[in-house]
Parts: sequence; structure tokens; C-alpha cells
Amino acid sequence: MKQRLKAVGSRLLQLVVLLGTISTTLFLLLRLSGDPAILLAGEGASPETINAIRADYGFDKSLFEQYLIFIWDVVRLDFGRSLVNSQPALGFVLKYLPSTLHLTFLAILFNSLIAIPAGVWLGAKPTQRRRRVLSAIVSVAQGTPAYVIGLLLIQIFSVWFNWLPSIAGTGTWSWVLPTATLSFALAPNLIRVVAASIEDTTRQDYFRTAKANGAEPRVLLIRHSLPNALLSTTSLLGAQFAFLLSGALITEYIFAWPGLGLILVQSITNLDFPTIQATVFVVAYLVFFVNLIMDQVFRIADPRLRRSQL
Amino acid sequence: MRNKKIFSAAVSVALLTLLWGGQAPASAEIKTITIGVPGLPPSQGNPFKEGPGTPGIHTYAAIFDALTRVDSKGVVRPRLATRWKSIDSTTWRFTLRQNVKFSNGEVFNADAVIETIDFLTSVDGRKTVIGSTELPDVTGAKKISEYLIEVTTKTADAILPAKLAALYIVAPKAWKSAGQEVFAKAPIGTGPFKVDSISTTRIELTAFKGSWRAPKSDKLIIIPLADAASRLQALQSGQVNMVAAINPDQIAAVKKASARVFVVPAPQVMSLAFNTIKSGPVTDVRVRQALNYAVNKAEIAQRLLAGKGKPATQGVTPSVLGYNRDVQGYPYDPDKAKELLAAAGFANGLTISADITVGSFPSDNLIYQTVKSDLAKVGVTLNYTTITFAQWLPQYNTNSWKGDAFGLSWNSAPRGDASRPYAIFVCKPVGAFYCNAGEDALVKKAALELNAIKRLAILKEIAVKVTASAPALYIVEQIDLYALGKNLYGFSANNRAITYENIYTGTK
Amino acid sequence: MKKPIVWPITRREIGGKGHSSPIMLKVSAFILGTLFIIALFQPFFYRVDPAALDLSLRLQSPSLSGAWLGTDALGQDVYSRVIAGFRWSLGIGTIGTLIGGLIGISLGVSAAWNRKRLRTFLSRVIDIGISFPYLIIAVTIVTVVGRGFWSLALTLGLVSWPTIARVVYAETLTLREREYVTAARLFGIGSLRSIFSHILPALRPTIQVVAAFTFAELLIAESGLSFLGLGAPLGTPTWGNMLNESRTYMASAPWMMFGPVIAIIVTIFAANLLGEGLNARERSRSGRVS
Repeated sequence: MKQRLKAVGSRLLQLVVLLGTISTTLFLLLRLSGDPAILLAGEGASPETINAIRADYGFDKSLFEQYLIFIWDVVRLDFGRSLVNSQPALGFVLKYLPSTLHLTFLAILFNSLIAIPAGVWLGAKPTQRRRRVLSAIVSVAQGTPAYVIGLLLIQIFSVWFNWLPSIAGTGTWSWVLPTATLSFALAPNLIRVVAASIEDTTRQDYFRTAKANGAEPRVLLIRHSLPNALLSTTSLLGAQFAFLLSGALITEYIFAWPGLGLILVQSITNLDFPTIQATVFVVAYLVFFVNLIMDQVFRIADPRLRRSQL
Repeated sequence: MRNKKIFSAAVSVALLTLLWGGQAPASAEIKTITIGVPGLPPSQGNPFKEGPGTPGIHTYAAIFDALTRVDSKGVVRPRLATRWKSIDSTTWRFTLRQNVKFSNGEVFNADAVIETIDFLTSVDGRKTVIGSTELPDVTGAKKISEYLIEVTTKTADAILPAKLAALYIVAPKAWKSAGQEVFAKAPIGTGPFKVDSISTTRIELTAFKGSWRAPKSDKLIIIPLADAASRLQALQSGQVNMVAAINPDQIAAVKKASARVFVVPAPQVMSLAFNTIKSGPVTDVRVRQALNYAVNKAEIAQRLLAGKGKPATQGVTPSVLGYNRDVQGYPYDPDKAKELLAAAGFANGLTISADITVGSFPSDNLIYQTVKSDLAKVGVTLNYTTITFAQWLPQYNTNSWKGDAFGLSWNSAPRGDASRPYAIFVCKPVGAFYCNAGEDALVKKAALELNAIKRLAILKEIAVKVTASAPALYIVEQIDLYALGKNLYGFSANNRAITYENIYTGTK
Repeated sequence: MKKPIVWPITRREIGGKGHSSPIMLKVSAFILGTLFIIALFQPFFYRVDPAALDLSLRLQSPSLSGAWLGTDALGQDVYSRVIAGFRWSLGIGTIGTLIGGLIGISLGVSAAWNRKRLRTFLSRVIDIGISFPYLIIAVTIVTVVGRGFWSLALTLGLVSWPTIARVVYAETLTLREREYVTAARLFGIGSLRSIFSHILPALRPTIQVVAAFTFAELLIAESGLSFLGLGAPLGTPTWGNMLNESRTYMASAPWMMFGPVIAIIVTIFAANLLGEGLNARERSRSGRVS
């Protein structure tokens, strides 16, 4: 019990340190990047107006003072109001969270559904001709940017056949095309990683022993190879999840999907510091929990890791 | 027998339509128009925080009205004000339109306007873009009677009615009780549509049938589609009825999809302004003129704006009051350019650097590259850096440019008057990049001249002088392109304000 | 009755068919060599000056007598611009991968190798790297350093290391627990030596895969950065820029996209092939991975 509490406590501490470091780094970077007061005042505004706006938002205080106020607010999860639309920044960002998570989970799901079987197939016998063909196709897919895939899918399924909507929020099937786009964009990398891991396991002693003992190929793959390949697979999936949360902005652009990536771009363009801080905070928070889950998966996948503390 | 055939034919047609038509046919009762726009106003329903123009205007035109509006010829037209008169040099009297209601039932009258102007002149209001940049001179408003008000300005203002086209009137009680932030989520105006919901993916509005400009449709949906390619695809697939801001190169695709293109000249001149205060080659007027001659503006307008744009001859466009038809500007003449450069001592060419922003105009990135290429042909190397608006504004405000030139748009909207660009750009009080005492005096004279004819003459004189001094490389007059789907009628746009009330779908 | 899959079990079988590895290596070496030569001697391969724009020749479709890959929105020759993009795109792809790889591998291995405190600290550093949106890093670098070859390479490197670190971290964790490593440690072989003589060689397949797909990703990421206005300066002929410019012309002038996409695909294909060839050679050399 005490062990458990200690573990939980240390995790919480890690979370706090993580969020604190990220928020502080961001705080400094943002102050380097520009003065939002000028942008808010508009073209040709007088210096008095600009100073008045600065005072309003506390930008006229010293950097250290601003930082203290900032930390005090963040601790209470108060990111202030968006400089642009005056809504509470955290609330505003959280409104975009459901649709972002929706797309992210769907993309990871379909990515895995496509990539893991394909990767296993490829890695099991990488030298076979037909598997080489898949490898070539994967290369082609790697060379095609996500927005090309997206615009192509829209052209085919939305414009020519009119089967699927291309705009977010219209109808129940609006998630299909953006999910497909992201899955096709992310799958090639996952296929490669899975294939390499599986191939590596086929060269291990335990695998050859099991085979020599007469195990079926499918059983071999599923019970012996896959768990060991799970490690790098999940670590890549975790990295992809983190990317999708705030980085899928080109796909979000094209499909008008209300995601955190779009918010991030807009708030950066508008130098909307509170929204930027809130977005990054939320993303970091989510990534931390995904990492936690992944660490547990690591433990399950490789019993030898259970001993050591991750 | 024949009836059966007709019946089965009709059923098959209906089935086919359902299968291939994609969208389920809209119910006959609710007529919805959908528009794809490049973006929604970041400040949502708060019309004071946005500068006049995109992206806000696509939304605000449906919700709000101002006292006046300026038409495509630069003439000030009645809107919520029906008549106006100048009482003295700093006071204008406006007669307000009667029988106008806000979408929440409040009555539009002098109190509403006073409330709006009171906010504008308040401490908070002065921090908004409208209060600080567009109407900094307005000092207050006074009620004379229920439909008569007087607006006062700090200094003499000959064109206050035109300037007030930038001020949207908000429902007074709603504004007062809600405050800026809450109002932004549920704005109330006198326009044809009322906001139902502002969500992350769209703004949905329902018709306000009691509006003084009641709409023909029942519902309006504004969808932000930032990517130009997917905006067009949305139109092609029928997901939106119309689209704002398409590229000139997409016109062919629009026509192929049996949709129409609507071109509206924008009251904006795209230019590369010269930092004449800083020392460098562009302080010499001959160099500036040479650069103007060196660029083939007609070809740019013809080829990069699909033949719909025009080369810019001066700082304003024909639809703006103060445009001088007699000013020829700088037609393409590379030999003359070289001559002038040689006379200025740059026979062996020169290098200038510029900071530009791209993405605000159709084809602007292509235009700048063409300008660079044209200049290279007369021996001028143009090194440009693309910057964001957030980087542009501070440097523009204080003229702290490191380069010799910067991208500048000479915008006359929404007041449609040449005084706007000339007053702003010639001898700007803080951070001027160009100043000529004679021209500045004329600009100030124009601001005070109340006689319309005399004023126009002064503006035209300014056009001649300023163009001759070439404070900028005027490139092209900008255009706004809209694409309208099949079965969409009644569309028109004026200074980017779409007249939503006239638009309807169906058979003509 | 389905034909049973025959699993490789003998040393010869594990190496695969004897002739496959040299062929793959030869082909990939040939392709990569050609790409390298083109990059070195770009101007020789131009059809016309890639910077020459001519508005009267806009958006022409490919033809054998004129522009081989058509012309773009400014009348520039797509083929010549693709050639002109070799140095830049291959350059930032390679350098970006190197930067990302160096940081990622060092951090990933260190984090997985050490115990408790240092591990936690380093894993959190990797976590910070993963959670931090790449957009902010890109914007910061552009604001501070400006836009150019080296700032772009730096951005790409800084953006790619977290994923590399994560994957290497996971893989090293597994390898660490392998018997021979534990044995080596029991025998008193120092950490650093263990790492270099056991872990890194064992990581090679993973590193190869990760490096290959990172390289591919960075080539694509360049166009994403161009999209956001953070990539190569306006007008520079790079594959990323060209891809970005071709977006609105996808339906009306698809050749604008073909050129850079084909160049990128060929490069990625060759890089992957090289990886596979090296793997195959490794396979045939040793019956087991040490």
C-alpha cells in the first residue's frame, strides 16, 4: 500500500514537473516572439492605446512579476481570457477537445488496424516477392503528403461520387475522410516499425526453439513475436498520438475539422498567449496519460520489464 | 398503361436522384443557404474588435448594420440613417430610419446609436480596433429627438457619414446587460439573420423576418474552410451553396462545375511601399519611378488575376471617391526604367530588400515573384522576406523596417474615400515612411473641405501629386472572387458586404 | 490443404536467398548515387533556368517537345525546378535526420540504460519533447533565426528527435534485459562498453528503420512547413515548396505535383531499399543477432 502511494505520488510529481517545465519554456518563448498589444490595437493605433492595452493584460509589468502571476494562475488552472475572443482560454480550448480526441482515436485505431497486420505480414517473411511489393507500396505512401491524400480522397469520394461529406460536422459520416487521410499518412511508418520488430523476433532463439518444437506459424507470430514487437509499436503509436493532438493541422485545415491544431495555428498567428498556453498545457497533460498507459503496456508485453521501474 | 409507364419512370428518376444526388433533398419548408468562407471572425460576435474587412465582414454583414454604407461607386448611401447634414465643421446630424427592430425585439432609435457611440468613446471602446483606428476622432453623440442625433468629432471632418460605415450598431440593452464577452457569443443586430449558435465548426443563423431587410431564405450557415482547394471542393460537391475568396486560377474549375463566378473589384491597391525616410536608393524619386515603370502590371493583372484585375495607376481604385481617371500611373516601360536608374546613378543595377506578407490577396505570392522577376530584367535585385502580420504591424507602426520596402495595401474600405489611404500613409504622425509637406497640406485641406465638389477636386490633385512622387510601387487593383453554386440567385456583394437578404435557392 | 509456411531455421535460410542482398544493395546504391550526382551537378541537368518565369507559359501540361513535366503557375519549368530542389531537399532531409537521430538516439539509449533517477529525468525530457507542439518550435526558430537552409534543417531536426528517442528508448529497454547483456554486466563489463559493443549494434535494425522513415517524414514535413509559411523562402525551388504551391492546382494542373512527389518517392524508395539491403546482408552474415 505504501509502495503504491509512493508510486502514485511520484507520478503526480512528474506530471507537475512536466507541466511546469513546458509552461515556463512556453512563457519565455512567447515573450520573445512578439507583442500582442500592438496586434490588438490594430493598424495606426496610437502609442497610448497600445500602452493602455498592455496595462490591461499585465504586459507592462516586469518579466519576473508576470511570470509569478502566471504560475500562480496556472496552478489554479486559470489561463486568463483569450486576447482575441475574450472567452476564458481554458474553457475555449476544452471545447475543441472532444472533436480532437474523436479524430485522434479514430486515426490511431484505423492506423493500427491497417498497419499492424500489414507489418506482421511484411516482417514475417520480408524476402518474399509479394512482400517486397508491399514494401514498395509503402514507400510510395510515405512519399505522399497527408494533404495530397486528403484532397484526393475528397475529390474522389465527395466531389465525383458524392458519397461522403468533406466538411466536419455535416452528417454522421464526416469523420470518415479525415480519419482515412490521417491513417494513410501515418500507417507507412508504423508498418515499417512493426515489420522490423517482427523480423527481429524471428531471429531470436526463443522463436526458433518454439518453431523447432513444432509450433504453428500463426501461433508463433501471435504468441511469441507480437508481444515483443508490441514495445516499439506502442511507443511509435504514443508518439503519433502526441503528434495528432496538436499537429494534424493541415488535415484539420482541409476538412475544417475543429481540432487543437487549428486553434494552435490561429492563436499563434494572433499572438493570443493565453490560448497558446492553454492548448499546450492540455496537450501535454493528455500525452502524459497516454505515456502512463503505454508504460503499463510495456510491462504487460515484456515481463522482464516488470521488475525494473519504468 | 401510359400512366404506369410515367409512374415507373418518375419513381426511377426519384430513386436515381436520391442515389446520385448525394444530399437528401432539403425539405421544401426550410430554405437554407450555406456559404464557405476563409475564416470566421476570431472575436466572434463582437464587431468592434475586428478591423473592417475580412474575415469579420462575411459574418457581420448578416447580423449588423451601420448608419451608412458606401456603394461601389464611392457614394455614401443610407442604411440605418436616412439623411445627414453637416451642422458645423465638427458636428453632423443624422436622421434615423424608423420602424427598424433588433432581432431581440428592441427598437432601433437614437438611444441605440447613442449607446453604441458611448461605448466607442469609452475607455474600453478606445481599446478596440474600431475605436482606436477607424473612428478615433468621434467624441460623442447627442440625442435630439427619437430619430435624430448629432455626432461630434474632435477635428473637422468632412466625411464622417462615410466613416460611420465602419460602425455596426448593436442592440443597446443586450449590449449593456451582457457586456462584451457574452455579447460576442449571442450578438444582436438589425440585420437579416440572427445567430442561433456559434460552434467550433460553423455559425448557424436563422432568418429574422422582422428585420428591415428581411431575408428571402430561412437559414444561413457560415462555414469556415481555410483551405482554398477544399473550399472549392465543398462547392463542387454541393455541401455549400456559395464560396467566398476563390483564387483566379480556380475560375475554370468553377465554371466546369456549372457554377458561376462573381467578381467584385475590391477598393484595395496592392503595393510595395518604399521606406523613403531611411537612407538608401529608394529615397531618390527617380529610383522609385523607375521601379514602377519596370513592372509589367498589365500582364500581371491579365494573367494572374484571370483578366479580372487591373493594373494600379494610383493609390485608390475607380470605385473610391477621389479616384482620378486622368492619372496614367506608370505603364510598363523597362527602357524608361533603365534610363531613370542610370540618371540616379544606378546604371549597373542595385539591390533592395523588402518585407512582405502573403496570403491576404488572391495570387499575391505569385504577384510578388513576378515583380521580382520583372525588376531583375532592369538590373534591380529584389530580396524579399515573407513575414507574418504580427511581425509586420510593429514595424509599420514605428517605421522600424530594416529593408528598403515593405508590402502595403492601400485600403479605402469601408468608407470608400481616398482620404483614408492618403491620410494614413502621407506623413503618418508616428512612424511615417513617406512625407511630403505639400501633399500633406492638401490632405489636411481635404479633410476640412465640406463642399463635396471642391473636396473631390482636392483629392484628385492629391492623386496626381502622390502618384508622381511614387511613394510605393503600385501593382494591381485587387479583386474579390465569389463562386456561386447552381440554383443560387440574388447574390451581390458591395465592399465585401454580401447582401444576404436577397439570396435564395431554387428556381429563378 | 494450405501450403505450410516454411520458416527460416538454418543459417542459410535466415540469410534468405543468396542473391537478393547484393542486388538490393546494388540497386539502391545506384539510385542513391544518381541522386547524389544530380545534387552535386544540378545545373547540368536543367532544361531551362529554373528561376525563369514567363506568365505567358503558365500551367502548361507536360510535352516532350516543351516542358517535360509541364510548367507551374508562374510559367517556370517543373522539371528544372525539381532538379534545382535536389540539393536543398536532400540536404535538409539528411541533416535534419542526422540532428534528430543524434539527439534522439543519445537520449533514448541513456534514458533506457540508466536506473531510476536518471532514467526518470531523461524519460521526462523525452516526454517534454513529445508533448511540445512542433509548430511552436518552428515559429520560434523562424522568428529568431529567420528562414533559410540551416534554420530549416535545425527545425526539422528538433522536431524529429522525440519520436526517434521514444522508439529507441523502448527498444533499448528490451535489449537491456537480454541474457547476453545481463551476462556481460554480471561479468563486470562497464556500461559504456556494453552500450557500444552490444546495444548499439543490436539497435541497428531499429535505427535503420527509424532513420529511414524519419528521412521520409522530414521530406514531407518540409512541405507542411511551407504550407504554414515557415519553410523555405518564397520562390525557392524546393520539393516542399513546390508541393505546397501545387495544392490548389491539384485538379487543374496535376503535373505540378507529380514532379516533386516522384522525386520524393524515388528518394524514399532508395533509402528504404538501402536499409533493407543492409539488413539482408546482416542476416546472411550472422545466423543470429548478437
